[in-house]
Amino acid sequence: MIIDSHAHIWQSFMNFRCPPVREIIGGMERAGIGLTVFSSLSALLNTDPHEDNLYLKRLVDGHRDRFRAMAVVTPYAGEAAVTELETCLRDYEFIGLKLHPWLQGYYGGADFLSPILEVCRDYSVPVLFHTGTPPYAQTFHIWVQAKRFPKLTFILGHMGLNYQWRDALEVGKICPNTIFDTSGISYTFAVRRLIDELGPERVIFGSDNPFLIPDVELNKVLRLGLPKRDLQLILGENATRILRLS
Amino acid sequence: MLKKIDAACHLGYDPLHEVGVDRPRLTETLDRNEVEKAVLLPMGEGYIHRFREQNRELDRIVSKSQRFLYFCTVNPWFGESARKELEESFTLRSAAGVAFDTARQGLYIDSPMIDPFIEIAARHEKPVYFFTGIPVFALPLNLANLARRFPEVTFIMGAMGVSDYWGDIIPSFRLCGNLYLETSVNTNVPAVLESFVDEFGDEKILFGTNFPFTDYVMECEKIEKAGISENSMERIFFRNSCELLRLDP
Repeated sequence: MIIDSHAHIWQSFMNFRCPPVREIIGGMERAGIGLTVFSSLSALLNTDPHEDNLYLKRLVDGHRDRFRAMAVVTPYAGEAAVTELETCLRDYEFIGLKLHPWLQGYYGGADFLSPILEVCRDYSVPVLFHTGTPPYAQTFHIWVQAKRFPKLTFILGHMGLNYQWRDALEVGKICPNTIFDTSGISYTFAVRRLIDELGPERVIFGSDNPFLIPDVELNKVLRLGLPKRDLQLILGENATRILRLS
Repeated sequence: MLKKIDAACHLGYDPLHEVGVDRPRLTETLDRNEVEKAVLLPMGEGYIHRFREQNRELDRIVSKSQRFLYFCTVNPWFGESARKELEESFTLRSAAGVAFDTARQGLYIDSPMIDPFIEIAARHEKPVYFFTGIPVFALPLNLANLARRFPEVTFIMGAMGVSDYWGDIIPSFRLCGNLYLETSVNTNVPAVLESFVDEFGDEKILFGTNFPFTDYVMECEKIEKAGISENSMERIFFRNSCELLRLDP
């Protein structure tokens, strides 16, 4: 089964329309994606993301065969962020944390992320970081955090994008607790190089749906010229292992 | 399949990303994707210190093939000799425009250092291409500021502000009417293209790929699946470049 590890859903986000669920499922079916992991985009901008996470939980509960969720919390909220994250992981069965430093407005390497990263470590769930957008979401920020939390798995969303792919490769070599998702980066030579140098076990498919087009993002991976076994890992088996999907 | 003109691709090797393409592979890729003509942009060191040699190489290619056009480049840090090179690219050779990659060349898009080169392009009525999307040297709004200073010049916003500067595209076009958007590299098409067409129409968008850095099929698919009309796609893939570059359709 193809697993899309990086997608978004929201109630309201600036002036962007979120497609209705049936449209999202239609896009998944067209691309042949069996399971999608969402996080809430609106939660990234709300001081209190509780309602957004709850909305996502209800959505996932209604589509357990197709959807899973990652939590979003506001790191500036301190103890309230910890509480919300624990609620999402313990009570809602969310499978990770999504952090987006440039939308949320902090440096990805900041110390004040420690309390929520500790919760993820204790619950053994990965943290998906947006990477590749300086100054807040520099790819090397993950180097900083991955060294501080060697037992926590960090997923570098977009693998550093087109201009920090080399940083992503360096982070991957230095920090074995890092995983890379394929979404957004259009420099396909770089995607191939990360797979070749870090191994196909370290890369997972993501689409950034609905910001990006799922079947276009999937075709990008299918056209890399990878052996069948590598594709099986990248398109599903790695995500099953890393996200602990049953 | 719709007819296409690729408004931005490359030939040669780029040591920065360790990527390259030779002539047979480029031709085969264009054939396979039914691209009638392609605009060759400079590559790698051609933007930095080898611009004179690269301009001549591209001119040689274009002089022997109807399929290609090219945009020359000069590095503004080379001052008077670069100005002379640009002037000659338009008078003695057949450059269809001039391209800058200011993140590689080490200056801001709207730096006063650029002005003398824009004045030359203006005198020869040639379009000016800027690769955009790399902070701080290659940002869409700095291009808008340059375009504001030179309203008589046509500027092309290359790579549509890849990646997360897509949010600055529409504000830039609101500020300046003398901009075109070139579609390569950026994957944030659903966030931009439909609303761009709604607000500005479909006449200021040029299909480009920045191949060989990107996957050619993906660059086509992202336009084909962006939710815009067949007529708009025909304009983006083909007609707009014909009009801007004064080509017979």
